[in-house]
Amino acid sequence: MGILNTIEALSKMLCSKPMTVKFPYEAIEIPEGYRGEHELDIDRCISCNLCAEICPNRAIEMVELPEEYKEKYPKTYPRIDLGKCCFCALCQDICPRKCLKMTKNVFLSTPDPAGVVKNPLPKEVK
Amino acid sequence: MNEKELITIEHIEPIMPEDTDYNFYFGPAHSGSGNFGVKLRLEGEMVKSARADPGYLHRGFEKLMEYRVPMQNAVLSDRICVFEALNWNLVHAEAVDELTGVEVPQRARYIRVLMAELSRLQSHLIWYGVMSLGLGFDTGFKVAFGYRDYILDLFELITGGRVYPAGYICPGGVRRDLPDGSENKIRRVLDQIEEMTHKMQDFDNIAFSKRMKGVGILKTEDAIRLGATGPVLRACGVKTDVRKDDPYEIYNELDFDIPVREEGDAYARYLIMGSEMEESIKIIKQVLERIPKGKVREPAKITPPSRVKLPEGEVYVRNEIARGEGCAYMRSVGGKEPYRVKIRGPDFLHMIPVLEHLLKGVQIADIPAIYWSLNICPADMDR
Amino acid sequence: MLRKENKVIEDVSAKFKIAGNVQRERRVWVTIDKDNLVALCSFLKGLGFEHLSAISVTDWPQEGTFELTYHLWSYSEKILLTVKTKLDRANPCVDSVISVWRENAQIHERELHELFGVKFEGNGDLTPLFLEGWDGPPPFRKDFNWREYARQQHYDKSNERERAYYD
Repeated sequence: MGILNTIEALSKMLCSKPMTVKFPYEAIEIPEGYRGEHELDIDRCISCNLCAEICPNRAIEMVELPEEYKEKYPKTYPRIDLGKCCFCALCQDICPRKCLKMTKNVFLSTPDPAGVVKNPLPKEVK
Repeated sequence: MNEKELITIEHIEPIMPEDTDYNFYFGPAHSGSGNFGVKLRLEGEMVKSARADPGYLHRGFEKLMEYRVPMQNAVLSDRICVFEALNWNLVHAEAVDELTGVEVPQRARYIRVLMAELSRLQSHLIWYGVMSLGLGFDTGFKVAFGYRDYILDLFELITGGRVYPAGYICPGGVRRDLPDGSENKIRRVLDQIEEMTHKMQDFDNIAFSKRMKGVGILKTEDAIRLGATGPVLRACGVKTDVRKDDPYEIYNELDFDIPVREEGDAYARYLIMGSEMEESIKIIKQVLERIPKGKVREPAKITPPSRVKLPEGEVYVRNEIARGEGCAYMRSVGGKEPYRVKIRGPDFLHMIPVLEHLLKGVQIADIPAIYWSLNICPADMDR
Repeated sequence: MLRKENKVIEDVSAKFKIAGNVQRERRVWVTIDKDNLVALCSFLKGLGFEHLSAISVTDWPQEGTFELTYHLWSYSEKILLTVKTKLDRANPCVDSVISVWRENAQIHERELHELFGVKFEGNGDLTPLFLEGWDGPPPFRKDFNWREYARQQHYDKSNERERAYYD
């Protein structure tokens, strides 16, 4: 009896689709609204400071830009420390001008500790 | 017996040279115990006494929550126990809603129940997985976590993250609405989980059932005296469930049963887990049919932290999370932050008094069956 | 409406001097002074409140008191009753309720003894639960300055990323 059960289960399993996909050749698509890395549209930012106030881990600090951009962007802009961030998207929800958004980028590991802090920079520089 | 000093605990004594007993640390670095240690005193292969050793995950949530406004606390509340993050979100959100007296929209109530029941399903799948792993049945572990991944894909679609929903159930409603097409995806995942429950019922292996029948029997009066709640209490014959006795959200409009068994051993708890999964699938199907349209959060925008005000008062909220009775006591004096938050998790009672009581006089080989059938999670014991 | 809840308050006030109110259905709050606490708890267990859900301590440093709350649930009547009592903060000492609820109460009192420093007389096991080797003041009190403690023990001045937490 036991051997019949085994043969039946084996044939059923051999013909059915596996639960997994062969990453990195195929990938499961990440849906919209995923909370990944941040992206700042610096032209729309009004320095209201709300994102820095709501962050539960104090990962956002408002800083000034380097000298060469101060003329065009005189106010303070959010600098995000991705090591402290818990990716909760409260900063995205509270931004009144909708300029801080979270993208679908999940590949954030880096061997360089200085690369963990995201400085605000104008779009041309990136 | 002196009534006042009634409870005496056998501390683990040091071993003298003439002893034949030995101390055994079923400890925190063991792959089969989670982040929690139990100190056992053994004679041969029999346990003479057990002493729980908690505190490896103590993060001080109750004090952390006194320095943050309610919206930030909602993000913090899903780390109280990660296996049922959305259930703890719901406990915190209900406490703040009752304090502020806000009227949560109907659509938000239905979405909250939907997410809470999905979270209960995936928590029971983890329970099945680690119980099989403890008994040596590796295939069950992998199959259970494979089916759990379908539910995590649903969480990714609805809340934006697979494991931590980041305060999706927040004070005032839920953070965002269900995306288009999510209803069909939920129904497809429910069919897959029903497949899993059929597999669990068909699986009848004599080694699996013999290791769990008659092991770790908890009598009814002991269970109530030691403070057990949830599936552990229902396996001892007490028909109680917070969703029926003390209803919250829209549970009083839904139609579901409470599975109860009389034996009180590890096998009864295992059977209750399977029945509860089927009841949760029934609840989700009813929610999907009745869900109305409307707003999902009141107020619609997040209040800036400098303008938040919690009215004065105190509340005690009880919920049925996947492991038992999860409660929160919140006291506010009218400031921005709550003055005192006390979180009561079911595992605080299951892992210390109940476990020490059940492990007396058993053989070492029975310890995994008892330990994992209680469905323990060190995170909401230590908080 | 609220018949059961009002009846519980009547039954209790017939025997003890309490201040009670019914917050909503299934929630009753009762305040009593600390000398009659254990007698009230035994009486309530006889009324059907056999499940002790939680014990909690709130620290009021300006008034100089600790406020204890005992949350009790009755499986038969389906009511949650909370008993509140106040202790003196300079000498926080109260009789233990383990004579009523046994091991369930013992573990709650052990946690509160470690985190707030409240002494429960009659409880045989008040050894530390979570913290190992802690010799400072009870950490959950409002006057324990945890920022100062973290700044002295763990602040690394040379690391610029830690500045946001400690300045």
